[in-house]
Amino acid sequence: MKNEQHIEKVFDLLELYNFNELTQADKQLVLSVMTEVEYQDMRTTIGASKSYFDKEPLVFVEKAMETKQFSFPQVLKYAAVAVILVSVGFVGGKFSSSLNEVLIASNDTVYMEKLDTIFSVKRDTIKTRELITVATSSYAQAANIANPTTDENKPMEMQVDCSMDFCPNDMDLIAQSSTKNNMSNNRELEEYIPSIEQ
Amino acid sequence: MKKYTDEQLIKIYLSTVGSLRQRAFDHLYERYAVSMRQYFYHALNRDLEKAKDLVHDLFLKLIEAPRSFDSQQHFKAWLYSVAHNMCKNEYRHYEVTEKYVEHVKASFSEIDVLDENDLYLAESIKQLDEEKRNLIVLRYHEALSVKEIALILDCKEGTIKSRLFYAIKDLTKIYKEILS
Repeated sequence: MKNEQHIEKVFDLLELYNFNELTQADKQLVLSVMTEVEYQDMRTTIGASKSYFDKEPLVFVEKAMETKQFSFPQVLKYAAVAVILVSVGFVGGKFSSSLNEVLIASNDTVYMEKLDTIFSVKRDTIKTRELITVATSSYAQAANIANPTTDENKPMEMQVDCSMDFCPNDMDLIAQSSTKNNMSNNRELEEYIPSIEQ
Repeated sequence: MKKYTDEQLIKIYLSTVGSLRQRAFDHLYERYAVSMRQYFYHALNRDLEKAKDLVHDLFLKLIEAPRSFDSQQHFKAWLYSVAHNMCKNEYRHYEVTEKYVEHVKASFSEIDVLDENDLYLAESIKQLDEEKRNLIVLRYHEALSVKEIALILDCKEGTIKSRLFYAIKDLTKIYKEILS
């Protein structure tokens, strides 16, 4: 039991001091358990253990780097596989297309691609201006046309007096000459209108 | 949320729902995932893949059975004690799957990072029995105090000191043999 207590104490000393750093009493205590050489050897082992374990994180780092280094050839390996696959695909595609050609020839079927050409004709957009050809009441009065009845059911009746300078029947003629979309007739129409107002 | 202590975070995690709960969990995971992975890695004969799996399982325990966390205990101590028990279970499997472990170790090269002495020491740690190896990892890798280890392993501090002393003694013996 006493020896165990000595060992516990020696262990404390062992972790902290070299033999020559011990007090005389401690040296005596150590020498009661082991020799000086043994003490120093055990100190060396403790130091070596600490040193070894301190390097250990480096081992893990080194391993990680090792993995990275190995990943480069891995990438090359994958690239090589990819190139082979693409090549096989390309050659296979060629082969299959040449096979199709053979089949086409054997069946005497010719596929043609016909392109339609579409001509587009651009036309001018013509704006139309609709001329009012219905005589208003003022024109009608000027032309001696009686006001049309307001009764919607009855067709419009006109009483024509052709003794005037301008005969209202000529309205048809005007209407024909100033047809829709014929802007060239505007001037002609304008020539008539003053004569109507007169 | 990073300013919260582990105990505050676990309290939030246990007593809330939704995004707050998720964030509390994320912070705990961020704090401990790497160190737990390293703990498993060393405790399980430097089997990195197994270590990753066990970290996953460890945090899954917290998700699936959050009430298994003893609120009287420090979260860190609880986490390591659960991890320690998981390691013990794994040791049983290791007898069966030794070939697999050897295969995993063979595929993992540390040679570029560690010098010759480190590799000898790693080999020496590997040759320790599970309990002693676990103690060495907890003390010198995880840098846990004797008090914390005592909490994790549910022992007295004196017992842990004594066990650590013998673990170092055995390790020194193996290390010297390999070096010579």
